[in-house]
Amino acid sequence: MQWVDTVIQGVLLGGLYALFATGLSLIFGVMRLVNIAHGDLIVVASFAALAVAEGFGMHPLITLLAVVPLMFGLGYVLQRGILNLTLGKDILPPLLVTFGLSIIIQNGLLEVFTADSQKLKAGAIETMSLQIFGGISVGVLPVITFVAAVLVIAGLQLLFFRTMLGSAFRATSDDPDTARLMGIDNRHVFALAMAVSLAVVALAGVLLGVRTNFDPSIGPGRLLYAFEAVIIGGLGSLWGTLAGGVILGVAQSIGARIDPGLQILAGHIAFLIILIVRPRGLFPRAVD
Amino acid sequence: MKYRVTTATRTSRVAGLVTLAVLVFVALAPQWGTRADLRLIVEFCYFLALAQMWNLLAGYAGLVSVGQQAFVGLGGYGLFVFTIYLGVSPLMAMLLSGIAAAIFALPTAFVVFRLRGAYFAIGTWVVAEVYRLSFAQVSALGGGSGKSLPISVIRSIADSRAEREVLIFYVGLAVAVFATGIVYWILRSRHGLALTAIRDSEPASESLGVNNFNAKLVIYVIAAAVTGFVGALIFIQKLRISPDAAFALTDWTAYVIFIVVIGGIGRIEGPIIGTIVFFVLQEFLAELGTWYLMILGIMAVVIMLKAPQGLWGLVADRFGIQFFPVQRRLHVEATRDKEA
Amino acid sequence: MTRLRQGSGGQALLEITGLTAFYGDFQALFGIDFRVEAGETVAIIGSNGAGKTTFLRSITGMIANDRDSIRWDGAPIGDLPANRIVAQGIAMVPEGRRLFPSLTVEENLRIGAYARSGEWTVERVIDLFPFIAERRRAPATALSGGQQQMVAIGRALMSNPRLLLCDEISLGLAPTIIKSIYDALPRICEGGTTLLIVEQDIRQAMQMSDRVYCLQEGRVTLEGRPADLTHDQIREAYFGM
Repeated sequence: MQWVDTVIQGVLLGGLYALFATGLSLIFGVMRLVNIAHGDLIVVASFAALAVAEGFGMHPLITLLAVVPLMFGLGYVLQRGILNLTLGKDILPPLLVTFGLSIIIQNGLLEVFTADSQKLKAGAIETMSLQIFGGISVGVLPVITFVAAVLVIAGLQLLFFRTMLGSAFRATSDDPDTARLMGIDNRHVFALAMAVSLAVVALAGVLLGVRTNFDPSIGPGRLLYAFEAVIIGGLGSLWGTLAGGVILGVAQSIGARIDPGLQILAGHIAFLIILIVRPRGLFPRAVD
Repeated sequence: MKYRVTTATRTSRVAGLVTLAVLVFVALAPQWGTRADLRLIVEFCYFLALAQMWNLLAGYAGLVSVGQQAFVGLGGYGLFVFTIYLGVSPLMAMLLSGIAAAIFALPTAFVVFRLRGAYFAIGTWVVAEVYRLSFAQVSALGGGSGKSLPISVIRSIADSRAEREVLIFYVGLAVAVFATGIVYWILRSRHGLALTAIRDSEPASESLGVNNFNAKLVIYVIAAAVTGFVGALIFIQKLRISPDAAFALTDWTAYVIFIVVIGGIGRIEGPIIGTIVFFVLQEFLAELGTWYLMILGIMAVVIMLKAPQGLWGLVADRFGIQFFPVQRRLHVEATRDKEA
Repeated sequence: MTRLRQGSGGQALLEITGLTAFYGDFQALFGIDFRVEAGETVAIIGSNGAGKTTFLRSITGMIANDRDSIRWDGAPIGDLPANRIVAQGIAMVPEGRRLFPSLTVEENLRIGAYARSGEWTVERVIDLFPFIAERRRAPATALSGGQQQMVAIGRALMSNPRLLLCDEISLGLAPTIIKSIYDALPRICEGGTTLLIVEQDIRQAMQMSDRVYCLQEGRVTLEGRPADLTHDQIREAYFGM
């Protein structure tokens, strides 16, 4: 029964990883951009929530009302102002520019918030739990996180497949030149994609901050989890990304159960095994 | 029509002489320099060697790795394993550490070569993390808190502290020269042409029969070997190792990437210029702490956006100079044969 | 099929003067002068590499031009980016059809109306090409070449263009399919859309146009009404001999 518990906790942890990964998967899908600063932007959202929560005495989950629009705007400006300049045939500029941004963000956060470990204090909800079967209980927050991940991905599926903007995302991803002939301004569409990506990142950052301690140095680790979930799930598939997050969460949870020092290592090793066995991930997109 | 293919230029011959003079001057540093000078030069040398290797991977073979700290760490730990547990002499242990890093590069490549482009980059990073977390589990090597090199091993490098420092100095100088030399040699060989073809167009070079996978693998393994040797050098100077120091992304990859980008990616001179800029900036800005890293990052971002050929590229393109000519020049001596 | 030129004395719908175009150091167009009147059907012929596609890319803003080299309804539009051209009422059916593979047939049509819409709707396009009714949900890649070409035309029409540019719409298609596509064009014109057609098949171009331009090595070598042009004139303009 303990193992069942371990797996269930891992699945719920996977919800958080899926939230980390969704934004990364989305921008790769739309513009083939791999944002190395993605993890650091998650931490930016956590600190933004901290600042808002402490500044206005708000509950951390209420700060979402401010942090999500803030990150949405940041994403638009970041893409329009900097990252659009890096897109092209050469993979080096986007990679190195986002890598540079990652270092800039980490050190900027250090400068403003110091290296101290922080946490978003959510009060009673942090310790609330639900009894399910066989004496296993699950935390309310992890459940909320998992449900949020499912809702976000369902929402993005609707956005992608039921709206004109979604068609524009997919058309631009297929063939940016022809998309322009349709009157689609690629720079604007890419900026909107990054804005949506960072809106999801905002949610991920707040839920991360409520769940665990964070400090300016943890961004790269979150990037790696996000990246692993995306690759495990298969590039460009949002539901695959959720599956990838869950597999990573379960692997980490099992690793931690064996030895707390093995948690992260177990996740990485699960990723590498899947990479060797199924290089294109579990649910690769049909059209590539 | 007669054709002649050359790579040397007049500037390159002058540059050769200048380089030689600088090298001789630096090699005499134990005569004119303080201990701090020697230490600084060794640091300069290992950053230069790391930068040359990263540039070889990213600038020429299209392998943008963010995980080269894996090989620095493996080399560093190799030094400790070979000297402490296998009783190998320190110098021999450094060589063996380089070889060990190259051997580890093979299974690493088996995994990360499945990923393309940016995903390759993050994949190499994951593997480096796996190595870091794995070494943290090895209690014989001090686990997460690390291990110091025992006095007996330190003594076996050389008897006096001064002798040790001079020896390490020459090893450092040698590896910097070797790293630059091997990149030059690879680029001037047929292999180099194949690499440039891969970088410029992967599908096109495949259609020309260039075996990308093998060419890339060879480069990856060479870079791992040299990087591993440098790792051993770094930790014979530091005398203490821990997983976080050995597999540090910031120190062994971020700095190195900034050096190459600022100096000029895809050019042999780039890492040299970049390392000089890096040390000059460090001299003036190091006390700014986090601001120093932010300034480096901003410089790299701005250069990547506005002058992707780097500082050396700006100079070289304006004046048409190359210190280490690797481009082949085709001289056509028209002999006014019949019309085509 | 030929109709009278309308309002030839007034302002041209599209007027191009001294248009040049470069790919890096390579000059592809050398001072093209060109005009299209509203309601006309104009064809451009020329061999491979004559600059036909480059010319269309210039009009659609895919290649940057001097502001004044292209005038639309009298207003300079030469420096507008591609994504703002379609809103002006100029739509393009690109060479090779270029449907979006991730989009269904219907989504491909609807994205045509992204920046501008009007009388043309999905239903009206289906009326023009009835096969689409049964394939609305199909991925664009599941269609035959001829069907894809029809969807590409429909997609361009969805922006309700005043000028429709068709780049080699017969390329690689069977003669019967080409015929059914060309048979549909007059119905497009009825709605007031002016046509500019690039065609390698000279006979087809002459048959359906009011006026024809011939390009050769980036220059206009011939212009006139098909009825006024002789075989020799065309051969010389086309091949340069």
